[in-house]
This record gives sequence, C-alpha cells and structure tokens, in this order.
Amino acid sequence: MTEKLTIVDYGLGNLHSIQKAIEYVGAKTVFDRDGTAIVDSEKVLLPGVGAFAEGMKRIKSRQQLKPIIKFAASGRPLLGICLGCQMLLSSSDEFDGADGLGLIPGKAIKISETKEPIPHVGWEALKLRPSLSCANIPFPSITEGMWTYFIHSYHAMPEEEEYICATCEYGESEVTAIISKKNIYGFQFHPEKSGEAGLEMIRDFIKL
Amino acid sequence: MGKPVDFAEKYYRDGADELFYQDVVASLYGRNSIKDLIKETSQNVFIPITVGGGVRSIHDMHELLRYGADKVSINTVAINNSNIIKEAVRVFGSQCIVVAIEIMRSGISSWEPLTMSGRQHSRLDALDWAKQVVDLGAGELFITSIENEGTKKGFNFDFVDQLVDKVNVPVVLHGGAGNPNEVVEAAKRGLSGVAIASILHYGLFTIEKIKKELKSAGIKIRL
Repeated sequence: MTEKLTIVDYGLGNLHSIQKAIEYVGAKTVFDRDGTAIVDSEKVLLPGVGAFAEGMKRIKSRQQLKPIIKFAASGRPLLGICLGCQMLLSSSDEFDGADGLGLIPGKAIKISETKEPIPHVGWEALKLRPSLSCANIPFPSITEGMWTYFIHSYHAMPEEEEYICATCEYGESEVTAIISKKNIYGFQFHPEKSGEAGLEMIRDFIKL
Repeated sequence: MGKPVDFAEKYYRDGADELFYQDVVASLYGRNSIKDLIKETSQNVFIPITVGGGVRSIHDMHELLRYGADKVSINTVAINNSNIIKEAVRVFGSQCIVVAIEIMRSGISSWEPLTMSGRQHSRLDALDWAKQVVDLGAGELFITSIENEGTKKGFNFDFVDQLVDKVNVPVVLHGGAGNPNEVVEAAKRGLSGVAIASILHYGLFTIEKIKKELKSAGIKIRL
C-alpha cells in the first residue's frame, strides 16, 4: 500500500510543523493546494490554525470543499487537527458564524464561561470517554491521562455525545479533545506539538 | 553561546513545554533571517514555538507560521498601529497572536511599555495598553520586565499582580528567573506560564528540576 498522505493546504496554519512531524515518523506527505490531490489519497489530514470562517472561505476558493467531502465518503481516514477538527462539524459560532464541512453533525462553540483565560493555551491530560462510536478508534497510543497541547477558544460540540471520544478539564469547563464518527477523526489538540506522545498518535494515523 | 537550534533541541528533550524565539534586535535592523531558524528547529522539535522580533506585517506573520511558528509575538508594530492586532486576529485567530509588552517602571505603581528592544518610549500606560490589546483580540500577553531581564534576581510580580485579574487571556512572565522557587511562586500567582532563559542557557538549573519543584508544590504539570 502506498503511504500517500495528503495535507490540505488552504493557506492558513502551521503546515511545516505537521509535515515535519509526519516525515519524522516515516511517512511521505503531499500538499493539496487546489483540490486535485485529495480524492485519490490514502489519507487526508486537515490541519489548522486560524479563524473558522477564514479557513472555510479559503477551502472553498481553492476548490477543496467537494473533494474533501467526496474523500470522507470513501471511508478512508480523514483527520482534522485543531481548526481542522472544528471544520469537520456543521457550523461554528465564531465571529458571525459560518458553515463547516458537515461531516460530523454539530458545531464549534466557545469554551463555556470560566474563570480561566481564553484562549485556552497549554498542556492538558486527556480523559477518555469510551462511547460506542469511539470504542474502536484506531489510535492505540492514546491513553488515559496523556498530555497534549491545546491552543484554542472554540471547541467541538457534536450533536451526539457518542461522537466525543476524549475531553480534558479546563478550570470548571470540560473541553472536547477528540471527536470521531466512522472514518472521520478530529483532534482539538495538536499532536504535532505534543512531544513524543503526539508523535505516537501520528504514527498510529499513518499505520491506519 | 552556541547555536540556538541546539539549545532548542536540548530543551525539547529536557521537557520544555514551549519555545520562545525572540530576535531581540530585529526591529532595529529590519531583518528576517529568523525564518530559517524556525524551519530548522521544527525538524526535530515537536512542542509549540512562539516567534517574535521584527514582525512588521500580516505578511510577516503568515511567513513565520508557514515556516513552523505556532504563534507570533508582536510589540513595536502593535504600538505603532494597534489595528494590526485586530486584522491579525481576524486572519489567524486570537490564539495565534501574542502581544509582547516590555515594561519599565514609570512611577510607584505604573509602568510604561517600550518598543524597539527597549530603546523607545511609548508614553503609554502598560496596564491600559494591555487591556486595550486584549480588547483588540490578542490571545496572550508576554510580559518582559526590562529591569529584571538577565539579572537572575527574581521576577517582577508587581505589574502582573495587577494585570492577571484585569485580563482574561494567558499571561506569561519573563525576566529575572533565578531559581525554581520563583517559578512555583509565579504559578501560584495565576500566571499561565513563565519564560526562562538565563538560568537554563547557563546550565544553572534544568527544566526537569524546575518541573519537579512545581509538581511537588501541587501544580498540575507535564513531566
């Protein structure tokens, strides 16, 4: 099997970091900048740093929207990271609101009122939620209490609880850390910035 | 002292939670070579990297992020034109935009932000300025006390003690860390993080030692 992993480059975000992390664990990457490389990929990674509406706008203007949706329907693995995780959802409340990819029903909402600072920036220990949808999530390296790096103000709130595979505590709030529905996975944290533990998760992804 | 990238890799292996690259004189010379450094660092370092110094435009921020920075830190350009904060937040999101405030005491309990690596006065009040940049969307404040920087004589908590209750974004304190106890003290005062340079660069303490102190003081920390 070829290990063709396509990173969706929609002109925002730390593509270099995610690319280096994937190469570090031994896989090759291809960037898609115009929607043409996505559909035939083995795996697709939707990275993200930035604002939701801006990200979606760029995905549309680069003709990547339909190929991503088509790819997701193929059953092959699609992983969204941070903003990429939020864009898997139907919509976001950020700024004036915007539509997402709609691959997991739900929306990105602001982390609920807390005494803690927003954005939420820093390392948190994962709390796993073994729901039906997540029971077979193919990331064996993910374990209870593992430390991952978060940097965000919004988080995913799927319509169905069972799409939430892991959370973390932030003050009195519970923040969504991992969502999944079938072959679609979303990490709110940055595995490429979570040290060796994060690299292990990326290793799991390339082995899928 | 050696190559920055070697320090970066060592600190990564030693358990640093984040790296902060500050090209301290970039604004003075208008240079941009830090991009290559970020690119090299991010080959082997898989923790967040914040980069500051000499950022002059949205385009500069874009470039730094593409080369591997996770956050960009701005100071001089923000004071010269605070609208850039709003624009940067619209494009990259709040979480990406750190405003660095380099403070100098200007009264008994007032501080002035300086620009151009501490060479230029802004005539602003640092507390007002901090609140203003947060209102404009800045996602993090990186406070350097110029008088303490490099002294290893302890942090200046006077300013951040006033600040942390007034803003609801992470505040990182830099300048003066002399030993692990001061880092514990900073965490207890509600700071989100501290930036440490001298005592690590000169090998006086290790990151592991500092983190163990934090953990034994009951602070939740990744070891």
